[in-house]
Amino acid sequence: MANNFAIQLKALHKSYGDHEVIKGVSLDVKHNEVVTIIGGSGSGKSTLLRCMNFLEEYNEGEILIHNRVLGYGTNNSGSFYRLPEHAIRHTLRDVCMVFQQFNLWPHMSVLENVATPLRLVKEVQKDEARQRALAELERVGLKHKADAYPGQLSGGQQQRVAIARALTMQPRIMLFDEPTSALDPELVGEVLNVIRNLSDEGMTMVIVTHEMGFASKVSDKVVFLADGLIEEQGVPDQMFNMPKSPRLQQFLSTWKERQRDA
Amino acid sequence: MFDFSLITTNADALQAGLWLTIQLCFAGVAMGILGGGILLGFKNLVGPRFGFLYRGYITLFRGTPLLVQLYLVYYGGPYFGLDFPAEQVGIAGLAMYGAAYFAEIFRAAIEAVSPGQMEAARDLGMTPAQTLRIVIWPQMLARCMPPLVGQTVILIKESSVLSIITVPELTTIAMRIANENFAILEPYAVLALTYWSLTLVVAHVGHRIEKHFTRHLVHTT
Repeated sequence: MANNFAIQLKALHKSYGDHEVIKGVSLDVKHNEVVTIIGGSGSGKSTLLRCMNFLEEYNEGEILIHNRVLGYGTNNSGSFYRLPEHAIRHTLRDVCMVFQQFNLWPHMSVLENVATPLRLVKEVQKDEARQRALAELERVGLKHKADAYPGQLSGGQQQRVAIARALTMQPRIMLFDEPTSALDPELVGEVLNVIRNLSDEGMTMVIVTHEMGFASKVSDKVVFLADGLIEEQGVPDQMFNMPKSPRLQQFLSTWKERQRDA
Repeated sequence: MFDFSLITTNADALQAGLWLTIQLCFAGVAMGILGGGILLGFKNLVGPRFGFLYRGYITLFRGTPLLVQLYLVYYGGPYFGLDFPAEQVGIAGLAMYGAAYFAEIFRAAIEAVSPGQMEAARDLGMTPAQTLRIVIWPQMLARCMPPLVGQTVILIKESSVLSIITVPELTTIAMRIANENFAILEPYAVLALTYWSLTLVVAHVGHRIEKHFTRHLVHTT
């Protein structure tokens, strides 16, 4: 049954021990769509995103990536079992995440950071991997830093390298987990620009962010998460200008106050 | 006064003792490092349910003096049919004692690699084996070199304890010379100088290796 969804979440639940963090979330992400997830801290938005590439293993419900169940298979009696690691990797081969803390490998040069996964995972020859890595670095404006080490770069530059590293894997879906939250304010723009370019190129993206201005410009759909549930979702204009739920109204007015004070 | 003739007349014996000490330490440290790796591998393989076995080993061997461990095995072993030559007990003692420390050094070095780096590797599709080889292993080596060298130096000094189970290593020889000649200063001064030189050499070599492994880590901010 083919449909147009890149990611589908169906009644998703996730708990840590007794503590339920995701309490039944259903969400569709279409191809070429940009969905941003907003919400207060502890609302479960990062956990939700991390479920989408199986860094967190969900307990109930279903995640479909390109119509394929993520992480679990069904046996003859109809019950779920966890798939072996290589099968999970296969489902996730065109999903890449960009992390809040960049997670570059500090002992490798920028070029090695970007080229190594390409060489190991896609088994691309060394010279070609180098060329493709340089091309992706150019795309994020950091070709001239190819020989530097992550520790020598600013946070914004490190995040752009992390994006280039993800892009070399030619993902069809990109997940961003608060990509600018660890950055100094003056470095946020350069990272958001790179993400905006990706959306212009038609990349399917799910972005967890606190940058409301950015979310309103770049998103096709905004999802407001509260206490592990979707409180409200819609197009940016409706979400930011005509919020229906009191909690979203409260969330946005707090955010606006902070903007004014800043 | 310092009587140099005491040293020159016993030079052959001292040299033999030094050579044995070097051999014992080399074997003890090498087996200890291997043992430490095996211990940590065992811990990770069996999971948290049998973690008490790892902790038991670590606390036992780090929490009792090497001297007592050697005494128990060398003099107590024969009661249980464990009758081994002093040199073998000595090497095994150094290795088992050292393994407890080396295992913890390796564990700390691995834990110092942020989990996020491994998540990124997994997310990009790298296998656990590739992640170990490319991400964890080089950083772990760089981080564990300094404590590894420090622990090796400690083991070299601790090897003098093997004298109490009659291993004819450097300290045993020096003590014998002291007893036979009723002279403390000369043999023990030579002993101190020799251990010092030995540990200096080890520290120097260790530093060179450390530089090799950390050549990537340039930090400027």
